[in-house]
Amino acid sequence: MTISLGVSLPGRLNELAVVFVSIVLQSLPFVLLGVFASALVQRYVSAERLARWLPRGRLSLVLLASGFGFVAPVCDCGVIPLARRLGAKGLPIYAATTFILAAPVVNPVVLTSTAVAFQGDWTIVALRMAMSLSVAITVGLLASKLMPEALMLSVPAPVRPSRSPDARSSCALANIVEHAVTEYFDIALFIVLGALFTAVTQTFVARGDLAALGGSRIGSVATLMPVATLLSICSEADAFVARAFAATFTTGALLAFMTIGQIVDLRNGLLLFRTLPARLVALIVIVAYGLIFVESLAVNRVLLGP
Amino acid sequence: MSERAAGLVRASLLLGSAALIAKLFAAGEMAKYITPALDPLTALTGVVLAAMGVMEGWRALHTRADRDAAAIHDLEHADDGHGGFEATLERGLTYAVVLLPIVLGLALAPRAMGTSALAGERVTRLLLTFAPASSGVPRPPKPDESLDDTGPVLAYLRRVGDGSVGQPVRVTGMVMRSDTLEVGEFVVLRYAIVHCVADARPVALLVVAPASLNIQSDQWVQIDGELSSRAREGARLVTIVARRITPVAEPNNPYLFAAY
Repeated sequence: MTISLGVSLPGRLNELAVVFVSIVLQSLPFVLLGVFASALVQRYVSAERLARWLPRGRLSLVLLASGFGFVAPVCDCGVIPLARRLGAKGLPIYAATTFILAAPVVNPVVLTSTAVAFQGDWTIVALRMAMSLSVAITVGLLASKLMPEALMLSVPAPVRPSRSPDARSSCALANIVEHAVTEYFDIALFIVLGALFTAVTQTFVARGDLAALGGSRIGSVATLMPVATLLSICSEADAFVARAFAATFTTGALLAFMTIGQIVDLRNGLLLFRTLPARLVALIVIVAYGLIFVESLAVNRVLLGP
Repeated sequence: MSERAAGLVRASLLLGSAALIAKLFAAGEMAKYITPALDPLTALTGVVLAAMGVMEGWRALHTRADRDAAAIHDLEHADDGHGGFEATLERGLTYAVVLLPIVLGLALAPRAMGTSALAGERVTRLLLTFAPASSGVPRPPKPDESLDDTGPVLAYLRRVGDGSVGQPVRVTGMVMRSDTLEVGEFVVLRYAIVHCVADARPVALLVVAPASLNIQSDQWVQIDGELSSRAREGARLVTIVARRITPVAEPNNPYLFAAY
């Protein structure tokens, strides 16, 4: 049965529309996972309980946050709603930032997909995890020193007005759905706009000359990092795309592609700006690009020789 | 906009998103956006969105007038640095932007990505090659399944390398012409996706036509022929020496859904 209205767009516009709709469709399950996780935290985790659970020291808190993806395996689409809610319950901003940066890669689903894409090459999997953790932990520790204690994750102006506690539904399910809907429309603007920008980039930015830079140790890394930021591919799929580059680009460049693409990317960049203070976002971009660039060159030096 | 009206808009958008998913499944178009492996998750997403839409609609319809007025007052005096006007503007923008993919997905008759999606990549760089170490297989193993489609052919090539030379095959894909190829050659192109078309990667096979070919780029064809090898710029290209080339319609599942 075909019920399509049959509007057919010319070549590049068809590609733009198909890529745009596909990114939104593919993001939806993971966004819902994030907003429902956020709603559950809102309803069932009090600030006092969270404070009892969390370690006191900054280093131990950052380390805990960097591995929290193993407990809550949310991808980059779903991590921000959950981190924001945990922040609202008292999780310090530096720990929430560490969680946002680490969880999209340091979780069992993404590490398994990386292993499958690279045909069981666990060195690649371990290096990807180590590079992601290095950025998340470095940013977390720097933020804990450089950012004021009182700094909080931004909770944007509600798209729908919040209501007083006595007006809230007493039904748990209705309450959770209500919070999830609120959270969904808080972030939907940025998810959809990010998908649109990514689709435009993928459709209209020529990638034909990338291969010319692929063989150079420095050039290959410097090329694939901004490409990853622009393409904004989901953390569960980017290893397969990186594998397609393997014949042309150095291993360090592939690792840089898989790491930076989950930290500084066009699709979620708008949402990151919405959630975190601008100077913290600037810190993330500088540390991530700098550290991953150096680490990738080190990987190339070790694997390819001096 | 009153809280009741805003709630009804949100309910409509959630139900619209669920309707989009239902339409794509009903029309058999979901495979043109995301891999069938994600179909159960996508279907569940549609159900959850529909439930959220129904509950939001019910809540909006039962919002009392006094609560509505208080909510509007709260919004207009939002003390978060945005101000009432900006908050209202953002709310309207959010609804408009969320509506965009719903309308596009409902109205569009999607086609598979074509050769223009390669965005200037050189065709010779895309062509599948035999690995250097794969030569010298004395007796190629028989294929596990008949090699009558592109997916099984690629899986067989990956398994036996150039031991597959001489194997009769049938592949389907888009024609891609290029001045960089020799006379009588063209490329048959498919895209492989992992999750959605945003992560699509081209898979290209060199084809040697039996006679001069008068088919334009992006035309889907079915090719019956035999696997072979051609040396080019120091590489050995996987080549199909075609016996018959038949123009066909774009398949319902135009993408390859495995890692080749």
